[in-house]
Amino acid sequence: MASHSWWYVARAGGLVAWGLVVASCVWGLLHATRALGRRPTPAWMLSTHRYLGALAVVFTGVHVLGLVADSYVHFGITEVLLPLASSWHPVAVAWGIVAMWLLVAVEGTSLARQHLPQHIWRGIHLLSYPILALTTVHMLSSGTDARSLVPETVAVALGVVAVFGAAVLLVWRSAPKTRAESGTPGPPAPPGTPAPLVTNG
Amino acid sequence: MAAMARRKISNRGRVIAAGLCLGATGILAGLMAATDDTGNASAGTSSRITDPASQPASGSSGASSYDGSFDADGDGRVGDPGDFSGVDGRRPDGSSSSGSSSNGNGQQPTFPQPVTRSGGS
Repeated sequence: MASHSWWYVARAGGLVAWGLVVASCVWGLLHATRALGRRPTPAWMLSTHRYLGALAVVFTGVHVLGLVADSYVHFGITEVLLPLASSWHPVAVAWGIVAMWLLVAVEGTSLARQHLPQHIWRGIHLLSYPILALTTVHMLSSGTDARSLVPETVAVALGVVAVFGAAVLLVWRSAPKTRAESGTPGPPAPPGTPAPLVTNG
Repeated sequence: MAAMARRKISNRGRVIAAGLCLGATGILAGLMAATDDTGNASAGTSSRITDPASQPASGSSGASSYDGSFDADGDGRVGDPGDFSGVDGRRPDGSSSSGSSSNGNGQQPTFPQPVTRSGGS
């Protein structure tokens, strides 16, 4: 056990990081679409979404550090930071490395959002969907536990949910935007209509 | 204060979430260590295919269920000249078990290599 401890930590940390990426994306969709209504509050949803994203970064770090510290599968700093630099499943590992850098970009721009133009932040934040796809591919293609713990059908279902959620989000966002571009305030919304989105998520 | 607490995830919620993630990591790592067959798993806990030909020829008495079948001369060695000698003292290739280990052509006889499953069911 002791000789492979870091190998187990790396594998477990990777699975938890993937779960946190999924949870953060789902939380972000729920926040942006306000699918849960006003309770919980949008501010609480946004706070939780950001915290899940931060935890995903932390456990991605656990995953990477575990791989570097492990002596069972030899990964160096270069192999975990540069795509296609490893000799062990290079393509499958490359998906994870690209996803890691995209995750760093999304998290970094979210932290520095006050200093960035809105369209730049939004464009980078939409990389969350490729991150979700890349981490899932990485997990299923290189993960030694994925096929036993997370069947491929679950991964496909998550992809369908993500695509469906993104489509709902786009449709939902287009409605208030159309009213705003018309130059005149629209009629009062009937009861039950979702309020315009707060674009701080 | 209660209204403020609902605006953001509370510190207690943060600690619980982080603790859940750490706990999940620990449980997963423990499960992986317990069910790992790539590391130092013992023969008694893993099912593996054993080829007697890959085992040491001497000192294997009682190590395999094939010892009684192929170690016909009962000397505790598998594959030596005394093995495969039936009641008529002849090998499967028809040569005698006594004397030289050669099959008459100056080459070592080749026997089918049995494959058995040991160390688990």
